[in-house]
Amino acid sequence: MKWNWGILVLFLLAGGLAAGAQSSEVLDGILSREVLQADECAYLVLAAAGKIDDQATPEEAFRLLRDTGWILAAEEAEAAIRLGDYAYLLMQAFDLEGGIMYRLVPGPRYAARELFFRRLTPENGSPYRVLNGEEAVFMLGKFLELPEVQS
Amino acid sequence: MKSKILLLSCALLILAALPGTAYDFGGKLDNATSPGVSAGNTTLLQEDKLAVWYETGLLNETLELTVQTSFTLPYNYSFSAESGDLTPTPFWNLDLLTVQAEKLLANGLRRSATLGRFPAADFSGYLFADTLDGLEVGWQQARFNASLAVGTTALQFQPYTSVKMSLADEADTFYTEDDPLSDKLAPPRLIALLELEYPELIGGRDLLLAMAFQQDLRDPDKLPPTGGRLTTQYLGAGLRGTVAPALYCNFFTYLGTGSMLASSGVPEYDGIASALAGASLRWFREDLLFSRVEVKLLFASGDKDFAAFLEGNTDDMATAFQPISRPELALVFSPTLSNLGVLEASYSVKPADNLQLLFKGLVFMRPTEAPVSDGRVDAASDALYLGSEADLVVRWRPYSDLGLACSAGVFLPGSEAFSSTYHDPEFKGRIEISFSF
Repeated sequence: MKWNWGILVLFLLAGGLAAGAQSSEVLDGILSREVLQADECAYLVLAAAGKIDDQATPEEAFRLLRDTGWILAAEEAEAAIRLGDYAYLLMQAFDLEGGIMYRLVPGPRYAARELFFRRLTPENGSPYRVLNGEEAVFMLGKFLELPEVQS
Repeated sequence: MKSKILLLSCALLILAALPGTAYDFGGKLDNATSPGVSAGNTTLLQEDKLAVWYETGLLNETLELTVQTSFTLPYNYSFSAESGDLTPTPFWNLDLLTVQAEKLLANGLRRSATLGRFPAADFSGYLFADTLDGLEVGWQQARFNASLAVGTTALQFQPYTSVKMSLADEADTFYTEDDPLSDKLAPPRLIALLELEYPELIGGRDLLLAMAFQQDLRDPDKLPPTGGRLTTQYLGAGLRGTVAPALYCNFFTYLGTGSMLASSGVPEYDGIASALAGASLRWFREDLLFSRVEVKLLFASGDKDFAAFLEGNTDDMATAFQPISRPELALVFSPTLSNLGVLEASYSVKPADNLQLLFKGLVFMRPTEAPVSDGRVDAASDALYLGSEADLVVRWRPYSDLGLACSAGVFLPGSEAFSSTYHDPEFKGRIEISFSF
């Protein structure tokens, strides 16, 4: 298991999530994922946005996501998440402004483009490729360092 | 016909790759407007380029296919010509077509291979920086990097090449309305670049070693009457790294050898022994609005017995440096890096996150009284000072997908070196807009 403790701690602090046993267990599970699931994606973003507490589970996060009005193109909790879907959810959660195309046609494609431009995505920044858990946590850590997000 | 074959091959490759899972596509629209004033003649060059690209994984993501094709529409307009000349000639091009493989081995060695049409450059960027059709392989480790690129320029279209080394190359650029430039192919040259890099080897600085060669692939029987087959080899070395906090240095040199047709009327080839050298010092402070001050010196050897710039050697060994491609040195006056010395000082600052200003001053000299690539320099003049230039560039990126750049430059020709027609200052501007989608 390759843990990036710096990013993890940053994530936990920035999300206002106490590093309890429950959250550590969930994060451990996410980091070991070969393909990030929709509920885990929801968990990461809602936790970073401070919308869930440390006792929440990914399943609860996925249900709560509907109340936020943010769009995640996945009907089922186990659905595989693509880089674009994750980027779009992050941009909605933190109300990040994108480029001209994102403003005209907001969605996963141009959200991924925006994060790629800001060097927040892995080297392969295709909006249509699936993410693994480690990449998702890495992206989140870098995303939370953005000045617009910190302010 | 060649264009159609290339387009068809490209489409077939894309269709073959569709089952790939990690794919991406996009486009880019670039506009460049360049007004200029030279010797009382006002010109305007307007160029619009639409490019689309696609990339995908192949064979279970072990290979990656990338393709980019573009369509360019240039307008050349001379306000001073008696009849306004507005003749757009559209150019189609296959900018990029690569199949790449990369493998990380257990010992930390990363091996990579790229097959197809790819951009290639030597470590200095002054010897060769253009597109090649061929193969590039690389080996990367923490303490050692190596790359070998072998390819040809023969399949590229003439408007997209910066390779013009000989009279035969120049003859390839002649075109008529019935035989447009966009249908002509670039000079057929075989080019190989081998580079070795040893990071932080000497006092924390990177050592770079390079070998390169280029060979004219033309049939000797099909050469123009006055031209020959120019063949060159290069051996280079460079050192780059920090010399003090915030101070970065870069030194490089190339020794050039080869053979070129003598200009003496006798059909024989002379040897080449030439040199290119460069040195730069850069001071960079992120905390001072990303301020960057750089002083750069470039020297490319000349040969005083050259009667003409291309293949003009008239006596013994040719000592004029023969670069393979032609980098842009400045906005207005940008001769080929041969028989040339350039001193450049620049200052760059970023007053805002998405705004950059760059001021640049250049002084151009020639080491010998022989011709330089700009034909306006008086052949009979013995002046070594060619002129000075000042450029200002403003780059602004208001959005991640929209970039703007405005450049303006003025060149003050050396009155003793330039013919009397060209003694007035020369102005040039360039407005570039780039939009990605």
